[in-house]
This record gives sequence, structure tokens and C-alpha cells, in this order.
Amino acid sequence: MQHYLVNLIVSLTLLLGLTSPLFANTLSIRITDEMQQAVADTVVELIPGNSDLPRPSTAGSIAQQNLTFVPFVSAYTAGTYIEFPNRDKTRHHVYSFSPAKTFEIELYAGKPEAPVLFDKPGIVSIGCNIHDYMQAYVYIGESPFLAISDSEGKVHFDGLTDDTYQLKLWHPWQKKDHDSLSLVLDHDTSIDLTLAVEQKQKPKAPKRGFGN
Amino acid sequence: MQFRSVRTKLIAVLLLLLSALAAATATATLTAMKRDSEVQTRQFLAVGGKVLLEALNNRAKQLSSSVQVLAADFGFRRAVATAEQETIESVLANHGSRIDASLMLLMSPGGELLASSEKQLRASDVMPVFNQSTQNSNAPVTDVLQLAGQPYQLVLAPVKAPNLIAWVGMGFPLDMPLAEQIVAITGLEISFVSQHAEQFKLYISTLDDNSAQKLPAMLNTLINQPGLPYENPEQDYVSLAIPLDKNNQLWAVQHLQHSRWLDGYLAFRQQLFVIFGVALSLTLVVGIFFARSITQPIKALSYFARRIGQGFDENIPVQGKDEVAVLGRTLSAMQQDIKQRELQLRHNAEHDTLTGLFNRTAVERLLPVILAQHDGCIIIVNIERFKHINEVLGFSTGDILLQQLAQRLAQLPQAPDLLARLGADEFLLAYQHRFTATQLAALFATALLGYNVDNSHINLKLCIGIYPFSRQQSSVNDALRRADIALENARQTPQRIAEYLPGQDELHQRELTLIRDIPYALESGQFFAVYQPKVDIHARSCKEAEALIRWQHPTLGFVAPDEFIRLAEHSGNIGLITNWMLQHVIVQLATWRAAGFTVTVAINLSVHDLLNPKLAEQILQLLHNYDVPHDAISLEVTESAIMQDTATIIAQLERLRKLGIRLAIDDFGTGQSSLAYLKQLPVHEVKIDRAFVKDIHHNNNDALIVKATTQLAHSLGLVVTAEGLENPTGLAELLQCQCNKVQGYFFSRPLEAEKFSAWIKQFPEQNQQWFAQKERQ
Repeated sequence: MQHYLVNLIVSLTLLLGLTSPLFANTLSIRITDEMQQAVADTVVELIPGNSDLPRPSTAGSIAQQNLTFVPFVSAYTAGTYIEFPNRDKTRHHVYSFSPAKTFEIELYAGKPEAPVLFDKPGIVSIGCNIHDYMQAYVYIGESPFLAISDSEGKVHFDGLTDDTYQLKLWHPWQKKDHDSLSLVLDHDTSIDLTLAVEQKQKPKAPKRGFGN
Repeated sequence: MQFRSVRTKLIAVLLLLLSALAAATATATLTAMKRDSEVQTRQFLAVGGKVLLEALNNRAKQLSSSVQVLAADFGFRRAVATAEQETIESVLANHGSRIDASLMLLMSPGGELLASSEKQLRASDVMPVFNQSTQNSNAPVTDVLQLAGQPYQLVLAPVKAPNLIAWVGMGFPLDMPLAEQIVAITGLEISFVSQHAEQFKLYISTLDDNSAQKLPAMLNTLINQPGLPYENPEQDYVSLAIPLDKNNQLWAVQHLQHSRWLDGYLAFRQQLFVIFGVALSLTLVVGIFFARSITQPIKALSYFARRIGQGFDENIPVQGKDEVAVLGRTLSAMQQDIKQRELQLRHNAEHDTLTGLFNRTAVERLLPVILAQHDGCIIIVNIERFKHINEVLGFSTGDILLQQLAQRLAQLPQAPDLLARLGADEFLLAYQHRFTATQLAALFATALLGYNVDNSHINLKLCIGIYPFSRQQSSVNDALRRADIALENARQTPQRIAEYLPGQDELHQRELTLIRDIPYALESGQFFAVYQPKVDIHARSCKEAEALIRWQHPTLGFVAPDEFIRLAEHSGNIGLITNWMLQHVIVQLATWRAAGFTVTVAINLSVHDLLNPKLAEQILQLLHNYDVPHDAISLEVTESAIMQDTATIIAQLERLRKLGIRLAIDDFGTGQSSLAYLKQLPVHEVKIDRAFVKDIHHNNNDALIVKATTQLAHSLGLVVTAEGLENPTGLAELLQCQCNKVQGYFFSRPLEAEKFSAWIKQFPEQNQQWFAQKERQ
């Protein structure tokens, strides 16, 4: 933990010295694991200290495609309605027993009748009752400043006003909860963050003998 | 080990051998069998153990599948997700009963116990299984463990929605149905046991109650040697403990019934014992018969040999061609040889090799029969002067003569009942009737004449002793001795034939007694010396005496000197008597001289003494020892003694004479010597025998002889002493004959020492009484 913080502070100091202050700041984050491998699918949430939160988007979508949830990890601000469109030939029975949102869309095909409102911040683990391996995670954040790292482990934020931000990191395979960071933004900033994650395969449809 | 008989030895060896063989076979077989059984037991138990574990494993897999299916049940997951205790407990109970679980529990992913069908169950109880699960959160884990005091197979399966939301646990007890199921699969009895800090608890056992009760006591040993079969003598089972859980808290003990292989083992052992018993008995019987077949003939042969040794005639006790029979025939041959040799030996022992007649041994065997049967006579025949014949004609001639005599004796007109050669030229003839001397002389006449040996014509002269005996009156010894006495007497007769007269044997016995007693008598003082004065009839003085020996025998009384001296000379004891006499007289002389009484005493010597080369030395030594002068003794030698070995004796006399000892010839005139000898003899004195003196007063011839002898002696320078003067008339004759000295009863009989010394002291005063008579005439 200490080692980790020292790294972070050194990186921040270095980056802050190189950039010039702007009204609307950008933040670039690169997330790696302990092996310096880029970590994709990491949710980054920035919660501004003083600024009013901008209106969040109110709709999201998690599709079932090729017998998997797409995307694997998504992040929405609380209050978002998320659709679960079924693009497969089979029906799905999407459910969640997570405390942040418990719901169930029993066997359906195509677009379910209504999107589901995710109104509480938290982690929602979504499964399919007839395809046990199918799994998706939805990060319901307080703030609209939510981003998910790409395959290179990079996250980019625009138009961040000068403020002190609380930075949260979450990954479904993280070995443990990440402590939130406090970050003062008054110019464009790039930081590197390290997150310990287990290396796993994303859930995908097993080959079946039914000849589809 | 010492055996008393070959039979015992043979049987013992056979039995020992067979027993050793049997013991070795039995040990090897039974050991191998036992080892095989043990290996089989171990293998059986090992396989049983594997089957058990496999069965439990399979059960675990089945249970896992069931629990996994259960955990995936959407309704179950939904119920669990409600996080309502009541809902969770009811769904656990509901779903648990679906798969016949006895114990249901739910744990959070972090390991807290959320719900349990057993209220007293704690999260820590399940930890051993839970700890295995965290490693891999997707697969169910199973183990056997003790929950709420019962052994369970517990399956923990993850509950996913779709991420891990809980662990559901289902417990299936290790109960009797399971145990019976395992028994059916493995064929082994089984017990489930828990161990908790050295405490063992038996949950379930398929053993019968009795065996099951004994099990806890064995558990410590059993469990402390897992994988090793344990065999308790108190139990009929071989047991093997197998740990069921990963912490070795729960054990399955499998039991293989001992009797399964033990019965076979015991039956086989029993069979072996029976076989060996029968074999041993057979061996014993065969051994006894076989040994008897060997020892019986040996025993018979041993008896046979003993009988042969005792001299009996026996038939060979064994037939056949084997070694024993050969030995039998050898013994038989030996018997014949022994008999042959015995005959030869007996013949040799009882026969004279020269003449072929019986010898003395045979006489001792045969004579008693003759003596016992009839009156008869025993004759001993001896060739006179046979020694002379041997010397003149040679021993071989002598032998031929003996052989011829033997033949003639055997062919006498009246053949003897027993004819034997007793010794050199002595033959014995026994008749069963008696002969007079005349009859015998006639009988033997043919045996005497006309021997022709190497062309020499020889006539024999035989001495014949006859002993007529009465039936059963004489022993062999008596008979032979008496015949011998007769023979001895015959030698003294002109006809050379004498018959034993009663009493002769007693005389002979008396002589033997005397001969035997002489040495002891000399030592014990039965002998004593007497002294007879020798009077010088011209000087009418007496300075000499002759010492004579006397013997007073304690039982036989006075023994005449002639008798015992003759016997002593015959038996070679005369030297003892002479020595005694010399010693005694010289001691007496020393005593007298000490008393101032001087006399010369004459001592008689025998021819035996004269032939002793040390005589002079011994006399000298004695004289020296007692400090007696040489001229105090004189020595007398008979004429006949000198005639035996003239040269040696003359040399001896010369030696004595040189010592200064006076010498005299005793009994002169009775021997057969010629006067020619007289001049050669180195003597001083001649003593004329009493035969010429005692009757001199009325026998002119005697007087003439005495006179002539005296004159002759005087002419040779010798002194003459007349012996045996008995009356005064004789004294006058002797004076006229010029005899020098006279010895005789006229003067004095021989006197003991004290009386003699007294007599000689009074002689000078009283000599007139002898000489006066003569003057009166």
C-alpha cells in the first residue's frame, strides 16, 4: 500500500510540473497491474469536490450477443435506465441478486418490455439463469465522470473544471477494493495508476453440441 | 549319547531323522502357508481399503454433483440472495431433503456460517473443508469430517449469482446403511471410528457385538500403525485402519475374518500332524522289525561266541548269505580251530615231547582216578648214574636211551595202567594190583639189558621205588612222595629196589621239619655248644677241647647232631651252622680269655665250608672282632670231606694254616682215602676215629691199626689224637701206641661252657683219678 502511494505521488508531481493550467482540464490515466500490463475494463469514477454534478445520461444498454453480455463491464450514473436487448436466437433470463439492484427479466427474446432503472450506486452483478457462464458487471456511480479503460489500459476525461476530485477505481477481478484517491485538477493531467487484478478470461459461450 | 543296543540306536536315528525331516517340512510348509496367508490378508485388506476409499470418493463425487446441481438451482439461489434467515433455512431444508442430505449449512464467501440445520454447529467445525474450497471457488469440495458428534461426508458447493454469493454445504452421514453397502462391495467388515486427542470413539461397526466391544481397546494400536494389518489374539479378525479425512480425525477400520484362512491353515496343519504321526509310527514299527532282524542274529552269535568261549559245542545259529551269516560261519570255523588247538595244547601240556609219554601234569590229572578205584601200586623208576651216561655218551644218546626205555616200559609183560615220565630219567608206572619186590625185579629184567645206541651196547641199571597203595587212601602228592621215598631208599640197597614202608613218610616229614627249622633255631637260641676235653696223656694236662653242637628242638626234643648235620649238608644249610658255631665259640673264647682262662677249641668244618673261598677271611674277621688269637681255635676236617675236591680243599687248608690256625683230620681211618693223601695235607693233627679206639683194650687189630697209624703220623710230623676212649684199659693201650692226646667219655663227656671251664680248672689237681687207675693196674 505504501509503496503504491509513493509511486503515485512521484508520478503526479512529475506530470504536474510538465503541464500548464487551463480552464477546462483533461485527465489521462493509464492503468497497469503489478506486472506493468495494461488493465482493460477498469472503471474510473471522478467525484468533484465543489462543482455541481452535470446531468447524467439517462439510458444505457447491455446487450446479449453471441451468448455473452456486451459489454462485460459498463458504468452508469445512478438513475440510468438500462436496456437488455437480446440479439441472440435463444432466449435469456437476465437477473441480478446484487443489493445495488435486484431484478429479473424472465425468458425473453429481442428487446425486453422495459429498461431497468439502476437508482442506487454500487456494483450490480448480472447473470443469465439459463446460461450460467454469462456474466456482466454494471458500475453504478454517484458522478457522471465515469470511464472504462480500453485495451491499453487508458482512460481519458475532458472538460474537467478546476477542482479537487475523489478518484475511485474498480475492476471485477480486482484482488481487493481500491481506496479512493483525492486529486486536485487545475491543468491537463496524466497519471499512471496500478491496480492488482487477477488475470482471467472474460466469460464467453462454450462450444455446444447443438450445431448452431 | 550312549545306546544300550544297536536296535535302540537304529530306531533312534531313524526317528530322529524322520522327525527332523518332518519338522523341517512342516515348518517350511506352514511358514510359507502362513506367510502366503498373511500376504493375502494384507493384500485383501489393502484392496479392501482402496475399494473403500474409492467407494467414498465415488459417493463424494455423486454427492458433489447433486449439491452442485442444487446450488445452481435458480430458486435456491434466489432464496439465498434474499438474505432472509428464515427463507434461507427453509430453502436449505427443502433442497437438502431433495438429495437426502442429513445436514445442511450455508456459509458466506468469507467463511461465516450463515445457516445450519444443526444449531450447535460452528463455522470453525466446517473450516477444514472450507479452507480447501477457497483455493478454487468454482468447484465443490468434499471431505469426511466430524460434525455435531457424527461423521459426515460434507460437500461444499459454491452458490453463484452469477458471482460467488455463498457456499452451500450438505452433509451425508457415515451410517450403517453405508457401512453395509461397503461390506457388500469389499467383503470386509467395517467400523467407523473417530480420534480426538487420543480418545477413540466407535460410531458404527458391522462387527458382531462381541467383537465390536473389544474393538476400542485395540484402536490405539491400530491407528498408530496405519496401513499395517493388526492381528489381535483376542479377536477373530485382522484389522486395518484407513484415515478418511485429511486431518486423520476419522478412520475406517476394515476387518478380515481371521478364520477364513486360519481354518485352512489349521486343517492343513492337522493333516500334516496326522501324516507325520502315521509316518513316525510306521518308522518305529519298521525300525523295530528291521533292527530285530539285525540284532537277533547278532544276539544269537554273541551267545554262540560265549558258548564257544566256555568250550561248548554249538551249532551255527544263523543261516543265509548275509554278513551276519558269514560272521557266524567264521565263528564256527574259529570254534573248530580252537578245539583243534585245544586238543594240541592239552596233548602238549600232558605229554612229554621226548618220549611221547604222559608228563607230570597228566599224572596229576590221571592218578587220582587210579588211586580212588583199586588197591594197587605206584612204581617210580630211575636210571642209575644217568648223569654219567649223559656225560660219557652225550645228551643225544641219553635222549635215545630214554626213548627206548620208554618203549620198553610200555611193552612190559604186564602193561602199566599209567605210564609217565616225571622228570629227567624218572618214570612212573601205576598198576591196579600189587607186586612184591621180587616180582618186580623179574618184571623189569627185560627193560634192563641190551640197549643199542650208535652201535654201543648198553645195559641199564634201574633204581625202583614201590609204593603199594590202598583204595582211596592216598592223595596224589602222598603217593608220589612215598614212591619217591621208596626210590630214595632203593638207591641205598644193593638190589636197587625198595618198597615204601609205613612210617618212612613220617620220618621224611620229620626231616623236612628239621631242615625247615634250622635257620630259625639258630636265631632263636635252640642250638648250644658243648665242649669235650682233649687230654695230653703224656703231660697229663688238658689245654684243648672240641666244640660240639647240640639242638634242643621245642617240639621234637633233642635232635642228634648226626641227623641234623646230615640234613643241613643235604639242604645246603651247613654253612649257617658253621658260621653260628664259629661265632659262638670265638665269643666264648673271648669270654674265657677275659676271665684269664686260656684253652684251644676245635671246630668242625664241612666240605661245603671248605669250598667257600671266603672262609679264611671270615674266620680272621671274627678272631679280630673279638680279639682272640689265631691259635685259640683249631679246625677239624673229615677225611671224607677232603676226598670231594682235594685240590681246592688243600689250597683252602694251606691258607688257614698260614694264618696260624691248627688243623686236624677228623674221623681218620673211616674214609676210603689212601694214606698217600696224608702227606699232601697241610694239617697238624690226625684224629683217629672212635671205631678203632673204643674196643682197643680187647681188640688187637684195632690196637695194631692205632699203633701203625700213630707211628705213620708221627713220622709225618703230625700230632695224633684218639677219639672215643671209654675205659682206663684203653688208656694204657693208647699210651703204649704213643698217641699224643685222648678225647672220650673216659675223661669227660662233652660239657656245657661253664661246666667245662669248671672241669678243666679242677683237672690238674684231680688227674690222678684217671691216671692212677692205670698205675694201679
